[in-house]
Amino acid sequence: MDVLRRNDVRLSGVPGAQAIVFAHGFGCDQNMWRYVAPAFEDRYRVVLFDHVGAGGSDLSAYSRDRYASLDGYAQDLLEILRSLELRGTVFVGHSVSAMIGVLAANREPERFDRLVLVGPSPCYIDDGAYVGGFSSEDIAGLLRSLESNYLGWSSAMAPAIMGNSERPELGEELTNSFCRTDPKIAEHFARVTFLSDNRADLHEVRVPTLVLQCSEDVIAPLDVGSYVHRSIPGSELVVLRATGHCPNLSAPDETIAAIEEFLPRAGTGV
Amino acid sequence: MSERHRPEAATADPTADGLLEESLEVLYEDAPCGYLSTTLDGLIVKVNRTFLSWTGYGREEIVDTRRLWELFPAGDRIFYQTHYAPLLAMQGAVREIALELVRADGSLLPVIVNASVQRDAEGRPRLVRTTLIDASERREYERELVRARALAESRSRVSLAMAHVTEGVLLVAPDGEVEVMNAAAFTLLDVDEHVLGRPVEEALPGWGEIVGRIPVGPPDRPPAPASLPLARADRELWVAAAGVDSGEGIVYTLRDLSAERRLDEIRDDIVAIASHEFRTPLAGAFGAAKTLLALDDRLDADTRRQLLETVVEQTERLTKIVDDLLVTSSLDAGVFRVEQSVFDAAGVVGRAVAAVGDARRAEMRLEWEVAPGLAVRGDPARTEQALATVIDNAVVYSPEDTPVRVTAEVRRGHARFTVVDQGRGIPPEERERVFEKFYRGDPNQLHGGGGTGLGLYIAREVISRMNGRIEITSSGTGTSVAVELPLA
Repeated sequence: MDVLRRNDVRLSGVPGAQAIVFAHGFGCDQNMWRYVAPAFEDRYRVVLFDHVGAGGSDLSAYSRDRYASLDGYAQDLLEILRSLELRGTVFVGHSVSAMIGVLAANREPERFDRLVLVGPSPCYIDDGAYVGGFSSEDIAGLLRSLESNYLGWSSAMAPAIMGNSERPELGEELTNSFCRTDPKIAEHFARVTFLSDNRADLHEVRVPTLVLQCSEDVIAPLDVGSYVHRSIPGSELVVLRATGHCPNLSAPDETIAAIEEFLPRAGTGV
Repeated sequence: MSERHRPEAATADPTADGLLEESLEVLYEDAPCGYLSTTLDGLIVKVNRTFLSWTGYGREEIVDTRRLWELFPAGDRIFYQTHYAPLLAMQGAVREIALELVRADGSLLPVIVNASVQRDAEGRPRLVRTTLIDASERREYERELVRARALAESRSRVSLAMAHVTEGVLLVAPDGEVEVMNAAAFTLLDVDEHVLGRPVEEALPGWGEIVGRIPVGPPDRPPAPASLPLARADRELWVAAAGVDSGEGIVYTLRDLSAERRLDEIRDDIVAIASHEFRTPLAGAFGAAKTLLALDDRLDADTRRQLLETVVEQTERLTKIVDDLLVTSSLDAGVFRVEQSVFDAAGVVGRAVAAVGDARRAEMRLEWEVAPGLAVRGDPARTEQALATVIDNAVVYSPEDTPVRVTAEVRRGHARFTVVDQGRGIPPEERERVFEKFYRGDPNQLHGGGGTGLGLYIAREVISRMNGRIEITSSGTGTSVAVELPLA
């Protein structure tokens, strides 16, 4: 199987330079990095990809068994790095991909020089003293929300329901064109993501790590960011002024600056 | 302070500018949808009256204090953060997002949300304008549609399964109409979809005659099926039928018994052979032997010899029947072996002709001619038996004063043995059947030959195991049977 085709891997930047790999989180695809990745193209080999099931990936490669846990995604990441023959990369993972990066780095640390975890959470569900921010009922609510929004009302059905079927162009307009995926895969990925518990894996990390924490992030609250920071030996924690869960979209400049600050001073690349 | 609540202003200003301004404001406040303006990170900065009345919040409770996503239940908050906010940031707008609002009293209001980013004069994003549509009824309707779709999908899976059940399944509604039939039922009853929705007795030919005899029981005690004949245009079809009364119609299952009935027939044939074909030679041999025993010294030499010959002939015939049964059984079991050697066609034809001529006292009718030096690959003894069977049939089933001609020659790269008679021929529909097990062209045994009905079956099976074949051509003036075998 062609791994690069499977994950719709896209390369830009400086061939032969140190690679910086951006991994998108649950809910979107590599488009998430459109405001951040270009800032690294002058010094780095920039690697973008979609997880199987998202964006331009090969949906036929999706298997419920392989992706029954985040390990399947970590395996994919390693396969991408292997097929590009990349070692000592900077890995930037958003949301669930932060943990996917941790799992991959624990397996083959030589492929990772730095980890940047943007809005990471090792466990979304409260567990005793641990506060993940959600209960299992909340996750059930998310699955309902996903279902309502993947029914296709917003594209194909909306005009019919609104009585505008004589104006098909309205249906086109209504379509949310980014980050669409197969609803069954989205539902499964949501379960795997939000029911995952990778707290134990944090202690194993031996790669220099930056935790980028947003203010007022409901998905990964400050307490969770601190937990990740405390659990990964020698990690740094930076709390951004940006609010929400996607600083790569809402505050790209601040995100870029924080990543650059963490990387060795212009020592790499050309 | 706005002047919109001073009606005298309107009357004092007949140009209606004030009215226009006022009506825009009213349009905003009391629109049939909720309007919200938020900062880029979701802080609510403006809200209309419709939204407040829907949700039960006071203006001061949310304006400048709450973020939009805080008004959603937890699941929708995640969706907002992982889908809605990224889409809004990338597209500048989102359309038709289904979410729920938590009202002041904790109850939920389903809404459809549209939002777009508003930019300032320099094109920098400043505000997000959000429109919310009350979707309570629509959500109900959507859920119904989803349920209907799921039901339709599961029904189509059920149909798939039903289509591949080998038994016929038939659901007859309480009003007697045919409601469901699977593919096997269509085939068994020789009807198509047009019968669906029609009264069963009118739609299914022959059903009226048997329905009274089909046992029907409750779901927890389904009855044992009954074997019943279904009259069909071309033949009578036996089925095992049973019904279960589901309370919402009777589900009948029908199983084709043709194969089983064929086995029954074969069993009957074996019994018939044992009782008749064994009995006749046994009686002959037994009678002759008993006569010899009782009257030995009072018989003349010729009579004694005749009786002894009868004993030998009848036991030979018996042996032949037992051999045929044994060969058939080893053919059926797949353990029958043929020899593969090279033999001379003339020898085999000569011996087969002599054997039949001898047994049937028909030497005068038999003519044979073999191409000189014709060498064949196969089992000589089995070929001789097969040829003898074919020749014997020709002799038995053609008039006594007509010749039977046997030839062997090379034809299209094969050795071809041909047996031609001048009988009345075999009807086309029986030409294949003569090779079936226990088939007898003459069940009433009018042509003294008797036999087990296994001869041609064995001949064809044996010849095909030598990589050869048998074919029949026949007309009203005679039959030609060709046996082809590989050349040496």
